[in-house]
Amino acid sequence: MNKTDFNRRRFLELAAGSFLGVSTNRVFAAAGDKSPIPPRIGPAKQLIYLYMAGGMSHIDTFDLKTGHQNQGSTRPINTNVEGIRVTSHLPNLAKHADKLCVVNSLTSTAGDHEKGNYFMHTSYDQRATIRHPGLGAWHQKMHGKLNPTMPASVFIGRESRFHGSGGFFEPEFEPLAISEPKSGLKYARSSIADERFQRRLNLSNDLETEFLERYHSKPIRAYGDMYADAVRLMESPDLAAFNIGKEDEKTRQRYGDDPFAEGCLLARRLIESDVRTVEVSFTGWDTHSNNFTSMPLLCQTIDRAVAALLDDLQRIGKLEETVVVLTTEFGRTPIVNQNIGRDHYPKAFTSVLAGGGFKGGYVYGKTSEGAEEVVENPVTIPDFNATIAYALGIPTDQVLYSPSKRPFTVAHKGQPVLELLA
Amino acid sequence: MELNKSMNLVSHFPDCTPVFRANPVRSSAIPRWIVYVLGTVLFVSSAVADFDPRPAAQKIDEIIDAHLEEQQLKAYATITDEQFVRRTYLAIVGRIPTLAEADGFLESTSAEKQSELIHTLLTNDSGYTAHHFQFWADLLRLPTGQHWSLVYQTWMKEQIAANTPYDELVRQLVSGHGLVFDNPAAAYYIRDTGMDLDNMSNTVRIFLGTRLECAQCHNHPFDKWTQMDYFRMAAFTYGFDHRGGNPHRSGIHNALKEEEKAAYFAAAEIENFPFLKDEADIDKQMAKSNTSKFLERSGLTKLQIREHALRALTARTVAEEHNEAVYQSIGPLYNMVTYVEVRHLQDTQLKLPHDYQYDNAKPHDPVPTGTMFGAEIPHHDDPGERKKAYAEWLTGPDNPRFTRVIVNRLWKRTFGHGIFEPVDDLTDDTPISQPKLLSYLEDQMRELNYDIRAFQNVLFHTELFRREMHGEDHYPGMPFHFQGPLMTRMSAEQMWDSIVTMVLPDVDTYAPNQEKLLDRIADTRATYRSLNERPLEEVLPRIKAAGDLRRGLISEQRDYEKRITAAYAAGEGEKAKELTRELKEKTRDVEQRAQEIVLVDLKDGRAIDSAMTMGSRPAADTVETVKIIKAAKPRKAPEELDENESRIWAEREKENLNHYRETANEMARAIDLGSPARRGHFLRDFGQSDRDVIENGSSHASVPQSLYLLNSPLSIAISNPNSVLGSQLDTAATPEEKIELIYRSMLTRKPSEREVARVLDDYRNHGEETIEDLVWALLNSRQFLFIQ
Repeated sequence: MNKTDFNRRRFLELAAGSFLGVSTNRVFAAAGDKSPIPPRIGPAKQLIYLYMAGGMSHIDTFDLKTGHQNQGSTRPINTNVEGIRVTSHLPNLAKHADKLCVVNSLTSTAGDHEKGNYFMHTSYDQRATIRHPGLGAWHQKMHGKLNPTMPASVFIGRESRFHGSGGFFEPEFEPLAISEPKSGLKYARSSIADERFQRRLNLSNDLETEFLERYHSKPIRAYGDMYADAVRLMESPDLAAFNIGKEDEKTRQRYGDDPFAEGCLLARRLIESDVRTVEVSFTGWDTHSNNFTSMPLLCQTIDRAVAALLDDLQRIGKLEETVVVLTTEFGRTPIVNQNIGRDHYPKAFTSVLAGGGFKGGYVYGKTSEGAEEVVENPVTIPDFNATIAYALGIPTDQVLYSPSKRPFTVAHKGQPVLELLA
Repeated sequence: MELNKSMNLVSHFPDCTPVFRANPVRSSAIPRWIVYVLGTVLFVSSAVADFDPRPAAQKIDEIIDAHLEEQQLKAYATITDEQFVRRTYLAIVGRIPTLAEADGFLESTSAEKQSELIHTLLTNDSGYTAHHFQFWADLLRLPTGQHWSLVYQTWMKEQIAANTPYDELVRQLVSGHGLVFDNPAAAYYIRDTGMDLDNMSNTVRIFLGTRLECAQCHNHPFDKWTQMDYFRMAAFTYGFDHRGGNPHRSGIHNALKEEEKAAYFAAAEIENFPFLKDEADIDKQMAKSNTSKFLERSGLTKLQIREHALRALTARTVAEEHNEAVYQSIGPLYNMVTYVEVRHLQDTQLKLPHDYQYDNAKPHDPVPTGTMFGAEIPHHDDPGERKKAYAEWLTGPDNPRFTRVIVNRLWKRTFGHGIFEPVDDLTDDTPISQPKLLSYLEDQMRELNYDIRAFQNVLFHTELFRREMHGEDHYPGMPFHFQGPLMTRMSAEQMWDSIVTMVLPDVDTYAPNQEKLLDRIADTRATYRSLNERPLEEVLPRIKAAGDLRRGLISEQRDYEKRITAAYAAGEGEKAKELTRELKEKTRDVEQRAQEIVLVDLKDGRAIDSAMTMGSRPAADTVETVKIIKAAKPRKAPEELDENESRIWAEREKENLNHYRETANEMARAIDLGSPARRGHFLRDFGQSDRDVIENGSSHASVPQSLYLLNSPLSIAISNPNSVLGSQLDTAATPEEKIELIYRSMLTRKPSEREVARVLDDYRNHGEETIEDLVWALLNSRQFLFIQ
């Protein structure tokens, strides 16, 4: 870009800056480069994002290299789709392969957890000057809430800090965070009788009269609204969505009794109650040592829970409108290290998509014989996120501005991989 | 000032008393740290009493009054004493006053009582620090609990307590260098490790209120800054290494490599044998012209040379394989103390990015340093000198924005709105509605030698501080005229600390987590010492011993893997899991033993050096309060109750007591808790900054906040007879007395007749439980949340 171009761009941005949210990318796209991709017709409405924190080994899960020395002791099993094989520790998911769209050609350069996690969740490099919003926040920003009583996005996991939050968006775009799926929403229930609760509310209201007559600014009113929302939620039947205790024993067994399984079950209930986005985070994939003895346990956990989740989504008729993502920050070194472990490997790794209009029983991209590098159809992390955004009907060229007036898009410069959609 | 000495003060922090100088002598011969000697205090200069803030305060009021007149606006009415005492406590020590503190002020007949209160609070060192620390932690994005931030946060608290002049403090931060244990300010750079350019943007934003980050990739689209300005600024602080590596770590690597080399040459058995990479390298070497000379000299055939080479290569591979377990041991040990030092990198110069697009330079051109405004800085070859000069420029008298930004931030902190907004996006076109006021404040700050407390002392003495709040809508971008301060919600920390004040006594000096923090600092320091400060000859054999342990584990690992895989294949899942657990245990055990071998300055994971931990015994107040919480008892049922009623009473008391204990055990002022507090904590729900981006604290309403106040056990803990407010309620006889006590404690005012009547309405029908209901109702009220 030369200086004149820059000035033109600068002018357009200045003009756009006074109306936050106006896309200038479209203008440029029309002027040159690539033509913009028209938004998807009939996009999916909801998103379940299952995050395998620590770096899930690709070669030991969905990108098997049976017969190659890199494979180690991991063994394959057939799935219900001919030609697709997964590790023997995913027997239930193997029966759902017809619903899975396996992307074996993700590639990145972010090789440490923090940066990789941030990049996967936001499509941007982690910077010390800004925090980028995640997919859930973008989804809410573009499409609003599906259910006004419920939060638009929920994060389930124990991390004290997580990426893919509300970023620089307004506070209402921050996901509601739940640490213990078993306990559900914190302080959602009153420990006193309804009658007394009501009496307390009345007392509180009556004692506010003078203050509210004197002061009426927006923050003060906002607290009034928020109390109304909170009480409405407490009284709403939707509140039960946070309580996995309502599920019968059989269902809970189907998912499993670990926090990730409970998170998936909670995610299903929240999706049923029309929460837009639910992320469930599962840590423990950082198998630097004892990779082959750790993988069975890790795989079993996701195998049961994700299979049950897909079953349930299909049963309640939500699978077609819900994108399910199983992803991670990077894969693991194909060559086994001294500690019989695998180290960080962003060069080639795997993620899985399901529902929401993605092709089922489909494998995209290919790695070399020993799973060392992508040899077919590489997908960058921004591309991967652009694909999810596209599936959800979030325009990938929509520019939004941070409070410091810097322009951002949902998946940075990522382009959706349209072949993944049916 | 010798910062390494300041480490000795750490332990005395909660007890330290202010060094409060209205007119500090800049080149004071007495280093600040000398002020604290084992918790006793020597006054460097006489305190606030010498300094009369009123003339300056009066001048500020005159400027504002003139402005209001010009705008044809009227100043708001003066607030009541009740409002004043609450507002002043929240503004200076960050919490509401206790009943006794409020009464002390309200009952005083002194004509100067407002001034006296301000003075008392400004000299309440721990209270002031508890509040002011949050301001800094939010600005500097200061998380606690990281290796590099443990000492840093403690040091920041000391600087606040000691009232280090603002310019001096900033100079120390921006010139921070070396090991954080010696110079905690170095952590200012470690905070943005690997992101030198971002760190510069942050510096400019925090201290000069200017947003440069857009200019990192292209000329700033909304301001005058060019990309060249950006890179020239960044060149001052570029070229420092903050990463975890250190001389010992690489020394150990090198030593191991040398051993492998030695094994190679020993096996080669020929002097001056060439050092070959691998087998393929042999033929390449043979083809070289000087090889024939070598053959001649050694009198060997090519075939013989090949044999020697293979022997040498094999010996090296064996050594490498042997050492592999040692290499594997280095990471886990050295990663225990990462990012604790800022070092110079030699020969690194900042270069323009590959896509630099302007005519004044080419991509990849080296960038000379250059200031964005104000005085130029002469060139310094030495990176340390360069950084110091940069810090001098930033904080110097010629810098047009340094003073302007801090006075505006403090003004906003006191009056709810800046003289210009946003406080950190200053441009040449920023509208400043009261320029006269701004420049007067800048003059004052300079005159006070950047004494932050003295400056605030002036602001608290203004009439403006005594005026009713503006509680109407105010839209961003509209000028704010200061008829009164702008009403704001308490910060998350003010709310939390106020609630703690109603539950626990003497909260300002209560620091139950301080001991743990100091122990952790000592442990981290000792870990660092074991790994990096002992001679390499001493550390290397220990690391090797740790490697031996690991080597043993590796062979066991293989065996386990076979057995576990076989068990899974045989469908024996439970057996496989049991074996997996066993293996995990063994791995953990080896890691721990490796630490015991190498970390000789720790015993059982704790620092041996007792000098560091000696001072860390908790202060007397803390011990006392811990006792009170432990001794909490349920109330006995009144005698007139029958058996069944007594049982119900006892059950309820037990449950309430549990709530009290659970709540009180976790309570302390926010400064004593982790920064940020853990997710889901009251502080986080109410908008405490997560210390991720600058000024990230928020006072927006949210549903989890409402749920927290509606349904958490907080109000039960406040009304419990073992809490401060609850114990007072327990001794009050009539419902009227109790109502008044609650109002005076929670809202710092007496209830109106109407309010008393309204509560009594409920009381008549529902009795004593109405008292708990009232505590709940006020905790959930906006008059509690918003500062009047």
